[in-house]
Amino acid sequence: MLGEHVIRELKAIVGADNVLTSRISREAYAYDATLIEALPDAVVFATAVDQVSRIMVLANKEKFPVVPRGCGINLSAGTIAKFGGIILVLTRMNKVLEIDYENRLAVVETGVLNMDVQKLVNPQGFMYAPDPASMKVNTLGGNLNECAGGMRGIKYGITKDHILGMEVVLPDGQVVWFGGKTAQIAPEMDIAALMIGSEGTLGVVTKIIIKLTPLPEAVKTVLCIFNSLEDAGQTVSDIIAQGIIPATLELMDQAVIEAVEDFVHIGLPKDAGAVLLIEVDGLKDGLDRQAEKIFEVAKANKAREVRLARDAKERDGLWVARRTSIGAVARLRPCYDLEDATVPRTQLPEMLRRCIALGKKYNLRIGMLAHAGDGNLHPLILFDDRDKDELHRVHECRREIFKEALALGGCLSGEHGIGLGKIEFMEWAYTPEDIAAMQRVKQAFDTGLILNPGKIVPKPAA
Amino acid sequence: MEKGRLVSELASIVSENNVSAKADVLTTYGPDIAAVVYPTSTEQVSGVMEFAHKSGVAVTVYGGKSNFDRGMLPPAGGIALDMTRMKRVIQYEPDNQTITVEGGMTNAELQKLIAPDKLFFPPDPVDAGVSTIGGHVATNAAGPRRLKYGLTKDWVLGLEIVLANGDVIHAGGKCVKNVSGYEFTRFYTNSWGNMGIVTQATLRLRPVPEKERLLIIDFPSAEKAAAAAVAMIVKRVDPAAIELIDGELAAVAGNGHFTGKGASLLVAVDGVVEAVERQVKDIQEMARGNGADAARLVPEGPDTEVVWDTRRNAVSAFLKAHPGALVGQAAVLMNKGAEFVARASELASRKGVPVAFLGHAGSGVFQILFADPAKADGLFAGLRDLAASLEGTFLVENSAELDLFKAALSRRGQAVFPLLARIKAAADPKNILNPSSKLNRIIAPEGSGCCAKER
Repeated sequence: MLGEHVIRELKAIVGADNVLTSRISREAYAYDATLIEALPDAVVFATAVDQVSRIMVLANKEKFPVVPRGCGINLSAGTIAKFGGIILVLTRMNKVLEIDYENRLAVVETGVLNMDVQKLVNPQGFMYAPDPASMKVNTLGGNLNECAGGMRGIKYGITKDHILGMEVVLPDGQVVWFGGKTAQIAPEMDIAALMIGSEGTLGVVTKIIIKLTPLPEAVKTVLCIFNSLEDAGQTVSDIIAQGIIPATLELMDQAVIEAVEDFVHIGLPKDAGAVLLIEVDGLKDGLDRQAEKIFEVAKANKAREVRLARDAKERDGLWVARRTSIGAVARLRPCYDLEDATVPRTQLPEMLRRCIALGKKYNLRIGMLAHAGDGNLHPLILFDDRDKDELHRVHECRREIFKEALALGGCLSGEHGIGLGKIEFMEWAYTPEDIAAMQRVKQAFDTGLILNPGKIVPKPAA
Repeated sequence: MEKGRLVSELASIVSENNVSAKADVLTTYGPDIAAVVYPTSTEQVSGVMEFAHKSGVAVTVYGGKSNFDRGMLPPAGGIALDMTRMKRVIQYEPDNQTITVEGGMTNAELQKLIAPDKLFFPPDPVDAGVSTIGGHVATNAAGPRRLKYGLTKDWVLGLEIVLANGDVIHAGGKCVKNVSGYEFTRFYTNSWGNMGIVTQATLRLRPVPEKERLLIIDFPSAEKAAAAAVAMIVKRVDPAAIELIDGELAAVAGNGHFTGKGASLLVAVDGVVEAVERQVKDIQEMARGNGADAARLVPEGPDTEVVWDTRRNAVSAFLKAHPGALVGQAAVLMNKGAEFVARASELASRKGVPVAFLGHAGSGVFQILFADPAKADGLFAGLRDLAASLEGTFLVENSAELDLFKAALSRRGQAVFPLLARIKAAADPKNILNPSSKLNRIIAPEGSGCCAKER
C-alpha cells in the first residue's frame, strides 16, 4: 500500500481530483480485456508532461510501481498493476498538437484516440494507416506501446511502420525525444524502434509524431465464399504468388460467419466453410485488372461465389461484418479468449487445421478470424468462466495453440503483446541468453525497476 | 597481448587460413590493427568474441567497408573482424517471400539469387556490389527507392546476433508481425555496431513490379529541381524514387545521359502497368509546370542501369577527382528541401566555398560535397543551424570531428547520453566491441573500457 504522504504528494502534483483511491475507483482500473485482474493502490490522471516526470521521480524515491495506461483495452494484461502501485492514466493528454499534410505527419499527445485522428485527417485525403479493430476506443500511446496491428497490415504495415518519433519520460523522470520529424541520419542507436511495442516498461510516452498516409485514389472490395477453409487458405497463398499486394486479406471461418450473419444480417451464407474479404487499392488505373486476377485465383480454388462490392454502401456492409465479428461471436457465450498466434503466411492453412483439431480435443467452440495475408490468426475461444472445468480447458488449449504456432516457425504474438498474459510462454520462444539481453535493456532504462514491472520480459532468476 | 600469441589464439578459433597479420592486409583495416580474422560461421564469431571479452582485446567489425566512415573512427588497435567470408544462404522460402542469409553476403549477391523467382530485396544502397547485409543492418542502409520502400529496418524480420561476450541471441523470426518481447530486430538494425554483430538476417522480399520506368528531368538549378521534387510529393504523385543530382556531379560521374549543367531529378516509378503509364504522364506534366528544361523518359532496358550508375557513382567519382573531399549529409523537413538547397548554396557562395548537391529529394535528405576540406570547415556551423531551423540535422559523413554529431544528440535531451551509456555498458561492459564507433566515443566515459590507454 502507498503511504498517506505519497498520496498527498501525488495530489500535490496532479491535483486532488486527479487521484482516485476509493475501492470502487480502483476496481474500475483493476482489469483490461483479459481475465487477469489486480487492484492498484491508486489511480492517477496526468494532464501534462511535467506531471508525469514528477510522478516518476516520486515513484523512484518511494519505490512504488507505475503502470502507464491508455484506455486499458489491451489483450495481454499489459496494464494490470500486479505488484500494486499506481495506474497512471494518460487519456486526458489528448490534444492534437500539429498536423502537417505536406510533410505527412502529425504530432499528438499520447492519449489521443486512433479514431479521432482518422476523423480529423480523412476529409483532407489522409489516414493514419494502423487500424486495430478497437480503433474507436484505443489511444495512440496504447497503440505505440503494444505495436498494434490492424486490417491493413499486409500492404501498409503496422504501428512500428508509422511512428516517426516520440517524447518519452524516462523512468527517472527525465524527458527525452527519440526519432523525429526528419530522416534519422546520425550513427546512433534506434531507441525509437525499441520503444515501440515495449508495453510501457521502458518509459512513459507523452507525445508521438505519427506518419500520415494518403488515402488511396480507388478501392476494390472482393468477397470470396468457399466451402472449405483449405481452399480459402490456398487462395491467400496464390494471390500473393501472383505478385498482388492487397490492402487487406481477411479470413473468417464458418463459426464466425454464422455468428456475424445472425448479428448483422447482410446475407452471408451460414453454411460456407470460409470467406475471404479482400481489398486492393491504389491508383485507379489497373485496379480492375487486379480485382479480376483475384476472381480468377479464387475460382481456380473452387470458390463457390466471388463478388465485387458494387458501391460504398455494400463495401461498408462487408466491413461492418468484419469489424463486428468479435462482438458477434462473443454473444454466443459469456466469455471469449482472443489470441493472436502468428505463423509464416504459408503455414496459415496448417495452423488453422491444428486449431480446429485443438477445439475438438478440448471440446471448446473456437471461431477463427485471421489477417490472412500476414499469417496473423485470431482464434476466438468461447467459454463460461463460471464453469471451472471449461476454464481449465481454455487455458490448456491456448498453451497448445502457442506451442503449435512456434512449431510452425511462428511467434507468440502478432499484435497483442506479451504483458502478463503470455509471460510464461516466453521461454518457449527465447533462449536464456535472449531473455538476459532483454533484461539488461530493461535495467539500463529503469534502474529502479518501477515502471510496469513483470510485463513483457520474465524476471531474472533470483 | 603480444601479437604472435594473439594470432595463434585466433587461429585456434577460426583456423590458420582465416587469420592474417600481414602488414599489407592490416593497413586496409587501419594503421594500428594487430590481426584480421575472417570467421566462417556463427560459432567462430562467438568464439572470437568470447576470447576478446575474456582477454580485453578490442574488436572492430567490417563488412564491405562502404559505410564505415559514417559510423566509425579509425580503430586504435585490436582485432579486425571481417565478415565477408560468411555468405551462406540458411533458408530461402520464395513462397513466403523470406530468406535467411549470413551477414557477409552482399546486396548484389542476394539480388542475383532471388531474381529467378521474380523477387527482390528493396533496400538499394549505391554500393550494392560490396555492401553486405550485415552492414545494411548495422547502418540501416537505403538508396534511391527509400521513398517508396523505406530503409533496411523495414525489410528485416529476424536476426541472429553475437554479443560482445560471445553470447548468440535471436531477435524476431520469420513473421511479418511479431510483438513478442522487445523489438530487438529493429533496435539492432541501425545500432551501428554498438550492440552486437549480425551473423544472420531473415529478410522480407517483395515481388518484382510489373513495370518500372525512369525519367531524367533537367532544371536550371539544384534549387529548382528540389522545389519540383517537393511539389511532386505535395501533389501526391508518389514515385518510387526522386533523386537530385547536380549537373557538375553528373558530369564527373557521367556517361552521356546528362547535360552537365544545372541539376537533374531522376524519377523512378514502378507498379502495375496502367498505373505506371499514368504516373509517367503526371510527372512529365508536373515537370513542365515546375520550370523543367526537359523531361526525358529513359528507354527501358540497359539504359536504365547506366543512368542509375551515374547516381550510384557520383560520390566515389567526386572523391576520386577531389582527394580528401568531405561529404556532408543533411536531413530536413521534406517540404523545406528547396529552401535548404537555396540557403546552403547562398551560405557557401558567400564564403567562397564551391559545393555540389546530391540527394534523396523526395525524403528531404541531401548530400553536400565539399571539394576543399580546408575551406569547408567554416561552413559547418552555419549548415548545422540551417538544418536545425528546418527541424533537421547536418553531419559530415567522412570526418573524425564529433561536435556535429554531439549537437544532434543533445537535441534529444541531455538524459540521452547517460541512457545510451548504460545500454552500451549493459551489453558490452568491457567496451571491446567497436570501441571506436563515433557514438561510443561520445557516450563511453573517458578512461573506461579496454582501449582507454590507447586514446
